[in-house]
Amino acid sequence: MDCEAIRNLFSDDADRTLGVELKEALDQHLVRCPACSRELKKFISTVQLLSSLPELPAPPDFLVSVRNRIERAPVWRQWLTLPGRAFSPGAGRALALATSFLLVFSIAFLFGRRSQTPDQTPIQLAKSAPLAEAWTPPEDPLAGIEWQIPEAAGQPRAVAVSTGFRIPDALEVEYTANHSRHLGAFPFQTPTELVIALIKADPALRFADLYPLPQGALALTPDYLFQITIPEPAFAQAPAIFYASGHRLPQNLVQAQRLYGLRIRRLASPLSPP
Amino acid sequence: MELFFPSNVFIIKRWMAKGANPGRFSLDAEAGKGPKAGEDADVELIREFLKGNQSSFNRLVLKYQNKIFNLCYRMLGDQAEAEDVAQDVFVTLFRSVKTFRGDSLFSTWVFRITVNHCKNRLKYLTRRNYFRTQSLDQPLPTEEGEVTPDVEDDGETPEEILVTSEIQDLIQRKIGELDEEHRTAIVLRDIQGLSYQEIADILHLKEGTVKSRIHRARLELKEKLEREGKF
Repeated sequence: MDCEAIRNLFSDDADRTLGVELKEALDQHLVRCPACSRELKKFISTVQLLSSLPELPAPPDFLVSVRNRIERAPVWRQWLTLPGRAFSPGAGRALALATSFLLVFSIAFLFGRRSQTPDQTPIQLAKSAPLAEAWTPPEDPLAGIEWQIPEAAGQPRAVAVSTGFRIPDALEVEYTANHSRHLGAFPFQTPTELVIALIKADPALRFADLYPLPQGALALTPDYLFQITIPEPAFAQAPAIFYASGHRLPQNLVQAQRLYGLRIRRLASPLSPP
Repeated sequence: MELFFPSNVFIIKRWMAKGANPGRFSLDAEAGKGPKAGEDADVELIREFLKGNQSSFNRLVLKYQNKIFNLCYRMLGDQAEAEDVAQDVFVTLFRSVKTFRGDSLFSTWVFRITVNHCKNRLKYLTRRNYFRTQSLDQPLPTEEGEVTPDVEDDGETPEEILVTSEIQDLIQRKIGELDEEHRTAIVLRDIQGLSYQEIADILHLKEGTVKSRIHRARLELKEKLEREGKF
């Protein structure tokens, strides 16, 4: 075989898919042709370099971004693309009926929600919440926190609203085939626990006084009072992020805010001079 | 700098031993179980998702996200664009998974969607001559102001870091100079580690066509590296 025919075998040689006869012909040619021998060496090196490029992992909040993008789609499109949905001739009428009901319930819900919004400070709200009174820190790193609620007048109204949200059992699924992790083992069963752990992981707030809120916590420093809450949908996603990032909490609240969509409000500290 | 000087060979070997892409297709969750087990698990997840179980879709995303993101990055050469396109792929998957008929492997179907998205984005970016570069020193905008990303220290000396990142950047640049057909073929084969048959299924081509395309792409890349004086 001439050099051109031999060089056409380089890919098969790199993939180790050459038959015995062709491999022998190639080896014999290489012995007496230094030019082809050099070319093969460069060819194999190129293939090895390509296959040794590292795999870049997806960003840790990739799943959340995908879900956000799916959920940002218009409602009608979400409805159409829900699994198992398909338009039938009567679907338009049913859709109109469902939309009417949805509208009525939404208005009722919004009015009900507004009327229920207490004219309370976050601290009063925290004191009145069953979670803040009943919940005790289960184990380290949450142990040792003093659960006394200070009086601080003049704080703005709370944005945290709901109480007692827990991870639903439906999320307790096996995560990978190799590691039988169950999302039920996610160590933070309530938003308050998660937010307090996130605050304690931030070196800047390590020595802040912490006070639980229904959906988060207050962190009191000499200069500021941080009101940190996590919305329920973000808390529902938290186990997936937690496992995807290798059981690590973010190093500070800036990262945590990006990952978990925390709501952070910074207020003047009641401890600071007016 | 000569790439294959003896002094660099050790560094390259260390770099490869340190977790560089093994070049073989194996999904993390199904490693060691073979493609059949992985496919069965995928089909089960799709079935659960079609019944309305949203967490099954999340598991599919977690299972494929690294492969898809990496494929997008190697095709586009830009992390931000790769993330955007990879997200698009999963949104497409969410909307159209009910149309998956099982004619091919699920992974083949996902890769086909990804390749098509990447081709479209490449055309879009080429039209606008818009290929951004991203530096690790580039601050990320956050609500708290700009923060610089922390880069994990894996114990390499500055010289080693320089050599490895230089080689990686060079190869990525040269991949980006290949035409779309050659780039797709070489990324699927030599970076994603797919078989010729799988690539033929993904690209709807005959296996022989795929083989010759990959051979030409490898030759072209070798020549490009030679022109850079790396051999």
